[in-house]
Amino acid sequence: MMRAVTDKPLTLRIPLHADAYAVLANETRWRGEFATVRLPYETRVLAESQLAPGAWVRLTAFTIGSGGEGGVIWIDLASPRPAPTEIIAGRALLRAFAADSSERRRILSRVLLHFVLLEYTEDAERTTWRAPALGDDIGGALVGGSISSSPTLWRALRSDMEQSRPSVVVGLRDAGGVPLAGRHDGLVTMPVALGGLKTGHLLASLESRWRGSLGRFSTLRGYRWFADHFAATPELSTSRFLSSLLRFGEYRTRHREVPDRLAELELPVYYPSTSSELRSLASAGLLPAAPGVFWDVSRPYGGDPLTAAGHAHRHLGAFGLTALATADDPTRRTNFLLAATAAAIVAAASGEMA
Amino acid sequence: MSDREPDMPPEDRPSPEFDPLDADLPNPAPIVEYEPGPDDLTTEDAEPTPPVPAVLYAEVPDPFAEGSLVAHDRQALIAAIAAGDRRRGIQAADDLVWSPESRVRDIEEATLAHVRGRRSRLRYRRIYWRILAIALPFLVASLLGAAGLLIRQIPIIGAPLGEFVGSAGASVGGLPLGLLIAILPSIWLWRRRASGQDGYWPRLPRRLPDELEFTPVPGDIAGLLADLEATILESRQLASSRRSAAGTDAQRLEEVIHRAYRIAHRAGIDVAASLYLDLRRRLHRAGRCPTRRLGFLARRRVPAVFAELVGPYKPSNSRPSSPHFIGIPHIAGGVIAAGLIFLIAGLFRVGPNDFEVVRPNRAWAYPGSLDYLVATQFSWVTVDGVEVSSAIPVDGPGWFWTWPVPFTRREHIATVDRLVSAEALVGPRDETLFDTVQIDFRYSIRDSRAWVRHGLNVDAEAAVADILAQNLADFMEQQRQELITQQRPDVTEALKDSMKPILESYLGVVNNSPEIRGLGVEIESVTAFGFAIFSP
Repeated sequence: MMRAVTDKPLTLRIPLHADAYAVLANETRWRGEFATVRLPYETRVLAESQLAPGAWVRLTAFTIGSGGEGGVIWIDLASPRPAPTEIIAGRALLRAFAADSSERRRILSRVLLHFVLLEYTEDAERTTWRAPALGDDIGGALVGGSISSSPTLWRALRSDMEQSRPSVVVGLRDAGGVPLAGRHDGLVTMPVALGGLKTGHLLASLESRWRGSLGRFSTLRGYRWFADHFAATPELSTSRFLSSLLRFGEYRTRHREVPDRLAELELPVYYPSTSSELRSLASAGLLPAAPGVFWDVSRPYGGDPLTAAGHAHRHLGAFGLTALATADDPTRRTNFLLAATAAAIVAAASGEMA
Repeated sequence: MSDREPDMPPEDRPSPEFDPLDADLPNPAPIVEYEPGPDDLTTEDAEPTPPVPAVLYAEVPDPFAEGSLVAHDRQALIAAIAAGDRRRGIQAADDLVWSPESRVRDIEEATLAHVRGRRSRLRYRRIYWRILAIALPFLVASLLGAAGLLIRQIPIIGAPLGEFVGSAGASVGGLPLGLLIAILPSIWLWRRRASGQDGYWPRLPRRLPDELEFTPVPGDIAGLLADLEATILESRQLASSRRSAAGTDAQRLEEVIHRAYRIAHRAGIDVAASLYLDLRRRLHRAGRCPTRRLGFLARRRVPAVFAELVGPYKPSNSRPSSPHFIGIPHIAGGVIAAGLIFLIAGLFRVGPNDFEVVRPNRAWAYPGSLDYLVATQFSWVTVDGVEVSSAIPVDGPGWFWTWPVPFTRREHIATVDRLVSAEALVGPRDETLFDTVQIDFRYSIRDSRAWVRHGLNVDAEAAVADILAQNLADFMEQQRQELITQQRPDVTEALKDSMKPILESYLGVVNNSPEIRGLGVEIESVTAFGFAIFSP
């Protein structure tokens, strides 16, 4: 019997080792490299603004790819205060897609990547980055996912987003320092519209759904219930696809219910492991869909509109993702942001976010 | 998520009212104490802007056929009906005039009837399962009894384990444990939640308010219709001359409807986006591969029927039937199913080589509790004089029915191939070492009523062993006295040497013994024997 020829699953890895992190963190070395890196990109300065006295920032859009069936992926690296990890993640992404490789050419033939980076200008004073919030619960991490609070920057971002008409919007944010999720590399939230009644019911009954037959907290049972309940929802298959990519760094066809054992190269993504964490998630309007992936149902029409993903979902009908890096180590946080971007790009290029 | 960085300088920190989504000014205005003055337009003379109604309606094109649909958010509508909210918003194009009153009322009445019907169905389904939960312990006890009989066949641990399982744990924990184990599945069934997806829908009033208040809400419907034109044309082409879609057809339609959803979002018509999202999700269900069960068995793929997809968004005079018409079959079905469970729990079969012993409940021996039905002859056997210690054997072969456990207690007893061991002294009684012979006999039960008189099966078996041992000991002593009379030098050894013919002669006489006959058994053969020396 002859089998039809099918496309090999796409893979994309952008790992950043400690020495590479140091190179990208060095302004002088990066400027030298940037002259070469920026060549394949269409570059446009969107806005310049001041975050604090002397702290001038520049918002720049870099576009690459042809935008096939995967659509436009709009990657937002413009947080209210640029974190070193976000800046380095942006540089690593620019460098990765400027490099020529068959797999990247294959991806770029299917999607158009639109990076929006917020960086300090050459002569600007750098402000010290601190964790966005120091709360004990997951809400502390979610604070880091918000859009730029500068009206000038936000207007430029919104205008660029509306012009680009993205099908996928990915917000990359450093939320390091949150005690609850600090031992994990991070999490991804995606706005999903479930309706007011259903959302309220789900969030109120979440804890009981994650209890085993003897009343004990069971992660396995919780994810299984979620998969059964939302089996026919398109967002569930996307969540599981993203979770597989985030956890293993490569596409696996077989989904593992919970990260029972951390294999080599597997990112230890955040997932609720106690009832109190689940309560914290429910109060923040998050539903655990798959390990590392949470549905943001804090509004009936989708997620938090004060995130780029939520705004794009609400006003453009785009698929939104906010990756929040929560690890204690900055290199691990940067790597998580890169892994989340790679997962989103592969998912979009594979048609999993249609 | 609306908080900001703690280290942000005060001049850049946004005010609590600041929303970057709506910010058009370069700098947010400072917060000042506001005092209305005489020239202020916001004094009490100015009319405040009414809030946008929670339920909005807009007329959008039907993606599957010619015509239009009345888009709305179904969950918001249900919440508004439950809250008694009369206000409805209408988003319409300037040049398009449509009378919303009758169409909206039609849709809302259909939604009300649908939700009330679904709630009733869920309630009656719950009642159905609860009726079954009441009958289930009888079946559980009966099945555990049958399982206990099978487990008894396991060597060594079979007897105690089979007793434990067969009595639902009552052999160890008494009646409380037996009852607890028997009702465990019922507890699960009783607490079982309605599996319907719409279990969260609130209680709704019987009728809609007499009058709804319609408010025009601005929205670029004309722009939306223009943007949707090509997409709707494509989806109608895909759906043309079809009633439903499944598989790849549904997937293609889903892609197109998803495009319509995005266009509606971009146009800012949320209700249209909500409608297309709803259609998209239901098409996704029809387009995906069915879940595989056991590797090769798969659920049936359910196609998406277009008329059903757009039904909630199309005014219609058809209403679902009254919830009570749905409820009566559910309750009647539950009672019938519970009755069937009760009947099945009392049913048992007796083979040609076994019989069933039925005893009344230890706590309550009501008259007629030992009555039984011979199902094969369809005759009812009445038993009089029932007390707590009463018992009746039911001899087969055939099918029978008695009141199920726990109204009765039951034992299933085999009549043939039963084994018993007996030990008897072969040496003199005054020595320090005793020579004994241990013999295994095979026996069968001839008179089930005589057997039942000795109590439970284990008690009757113990009685057989005791009486047989005594009878054998007497017989061996008699044989020994005969050898002593013959002045044989070594009586013990002579007994051992001639044990086989002695046992054959014993088998010839043992069944004539009144004690053995009283047990209702017949000793059939010796399966094995052996000698042992016993030191007291």
